[in-house]
Amino acid sequence: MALWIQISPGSSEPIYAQIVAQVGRAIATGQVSAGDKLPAVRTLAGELVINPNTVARAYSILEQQRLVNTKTGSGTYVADPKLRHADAVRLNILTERMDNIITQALNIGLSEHDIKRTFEDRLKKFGTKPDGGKRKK
Amino acid sequence: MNDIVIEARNLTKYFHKTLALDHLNLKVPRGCIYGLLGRNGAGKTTAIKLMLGLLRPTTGTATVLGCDCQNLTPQIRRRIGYVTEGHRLYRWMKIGELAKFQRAFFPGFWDDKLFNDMLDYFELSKKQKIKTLSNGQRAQVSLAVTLSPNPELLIMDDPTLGLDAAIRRQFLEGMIQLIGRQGRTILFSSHILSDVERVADRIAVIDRGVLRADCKLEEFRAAVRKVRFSFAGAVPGEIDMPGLLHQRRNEKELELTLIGTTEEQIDLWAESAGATYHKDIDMNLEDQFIEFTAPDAEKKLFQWEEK
Amino acid sequence: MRFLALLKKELREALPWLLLAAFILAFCSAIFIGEYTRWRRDFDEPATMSPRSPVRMDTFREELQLRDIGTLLLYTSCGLGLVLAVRQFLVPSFLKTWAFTIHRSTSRTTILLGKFTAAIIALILSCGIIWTLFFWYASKPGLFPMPLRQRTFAEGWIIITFGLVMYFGTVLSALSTARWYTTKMFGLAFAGCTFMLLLLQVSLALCLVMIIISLVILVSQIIHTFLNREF
Repeated sequence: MALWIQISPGSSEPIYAQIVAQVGRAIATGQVSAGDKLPAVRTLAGELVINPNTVARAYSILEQQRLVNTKTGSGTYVADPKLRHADAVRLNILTERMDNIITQALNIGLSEHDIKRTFEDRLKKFGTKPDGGKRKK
Repeated sequence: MNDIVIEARNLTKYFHKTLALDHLNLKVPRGCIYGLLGRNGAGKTTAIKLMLGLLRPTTGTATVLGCDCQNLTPQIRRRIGYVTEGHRLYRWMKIGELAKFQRAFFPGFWDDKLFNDMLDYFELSKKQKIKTLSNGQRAQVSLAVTLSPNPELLIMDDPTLGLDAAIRRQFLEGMIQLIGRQGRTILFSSHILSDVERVADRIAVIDRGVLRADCKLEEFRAAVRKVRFSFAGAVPGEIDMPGLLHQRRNEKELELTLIGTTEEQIDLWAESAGATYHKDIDMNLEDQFIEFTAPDAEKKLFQWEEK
Repeated sequence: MRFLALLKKELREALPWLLLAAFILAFCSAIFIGEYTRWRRDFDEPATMSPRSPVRMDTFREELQLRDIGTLLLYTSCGLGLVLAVRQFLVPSFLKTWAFTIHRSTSRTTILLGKFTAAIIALILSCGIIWTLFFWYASKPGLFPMPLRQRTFAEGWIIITFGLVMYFGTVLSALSTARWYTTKMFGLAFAGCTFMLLLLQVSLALCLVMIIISLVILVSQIIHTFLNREF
């Protein structure tokens, strides 16, 4: 299980949001794959020294985002990406967000070319592993 | 089993003429980690001592595990673990002797293995005398003898006051471990907000004897916001915004600290006041707490000015 | 089980004072006996002994030789009573350990009884045993000019009981939350009054009655105060 989560209380981001963001990123960058089991709520809570309810809340949000599945009695597992794609609602939200970003980018004076290049750069970063190694496509 | 473990109704306490606690109303549900927040002298210790029958209320009542706090029976006390303010223990006793003493009051409930494990982890020996221990070590012993009887309800009065970060972490770990068991409830008072943010489900904020908030931690976090408004023209003098806590201003900008104000209300006000732009300023729990309990804006330490 | 744990703790805390009192008493009694075996030779000069003594009870008054030991016994047991009361009720306030003690799965009455029992045992073990030893030794034929009476032995015990009155009086004062110049000193003053009355009384029975009355009044007041006190 290659998932390392670190939280900092005292940040302006709530703890559960930090967990959601980190698990989400781990899934997006391929650090964990479909079918991998996330740490049990109690275990993660004990490791991070936080309330188990906070972990449970993060997992529940991840489940709403269709990034993970919880099987009662068994645990929480990373969801199959194919099933994620069927989420039309999420796609709509994402498109809206993209529109926002494009609008803002155009407003501050970026050209279409700049916007594309910046996006590609960022996308590339997700293709690399955190230790700098590249991921095989 | 009752769903509400601790309930205070209009709990009020005067010390001679000083009002220490003013009509406190709160409910602690079973299984909850409940953080009592407040500055020093706000009334947290008073509230806890009232709940445990160590003080008598001037008016109002409180019940703990269904029993009136003024008449807590020995059976009820057996179910409550109490970490006292300052972790004051019998100085002449050795740790082992203290354990024996404590064990006598929890026949059949003392977990010796847990106690020994905790001592090993803290690197303490049963032969050490309590008077030779540092504050931190005494706190560790206090935690060990209070958790080992496996209490149903754990009440901790500012347990990490004056302790270093490592020991504070141990206390939190102990709390997390305990809450892992069914039906356990924890009430603790603290002013270390990062600790509270880690473990609390619900918080109550007591400010100068008065309860100012009693809600889930996430609700509090979501409710207290700081919004900065930019104006093309003059900054409005009178602010008519629901939930306004504080305001700061300079020639072109206004910073409002709000509680419970909805997005619509903010947008509406921004429009009516002629603000060209507004955005949320990040706040962590400590920022929110300070803004929430700060004295009125007139009594500020300094005047904020645009450079 | 719980009472025993409390008792053990209180006794352990009383131990140094118990031993100190026993030592003082034993040491001074030994000196007294040593002195007296010398005086025996100078039987006609009783003026060498202290003429004044608060102990006026029958035999102690008659037997000048015993006056000193009676005084010693009184002061030692009163001292021990006072010190024990301070140790049990003032020191925890100073060290802030009341919260830990009161929150126990026993009634406050049991906690109080633990302290009382420890004080009584301490007085018996120190003053009582030393007095008994002294009396047994002093009764040996040839030491005192006339055989020591049983009565003297009993009176010695009554003097020790007065130490208990002193203990309870101090406890009541220590527990009182009033200001020192109002009713806080009541307990001590009460013990003091009993003491004065004891000076005047000479009959064994009356002494006993007075002490018992004092004890009853003090103990009932203490129980009432302790059960309602805030910590």
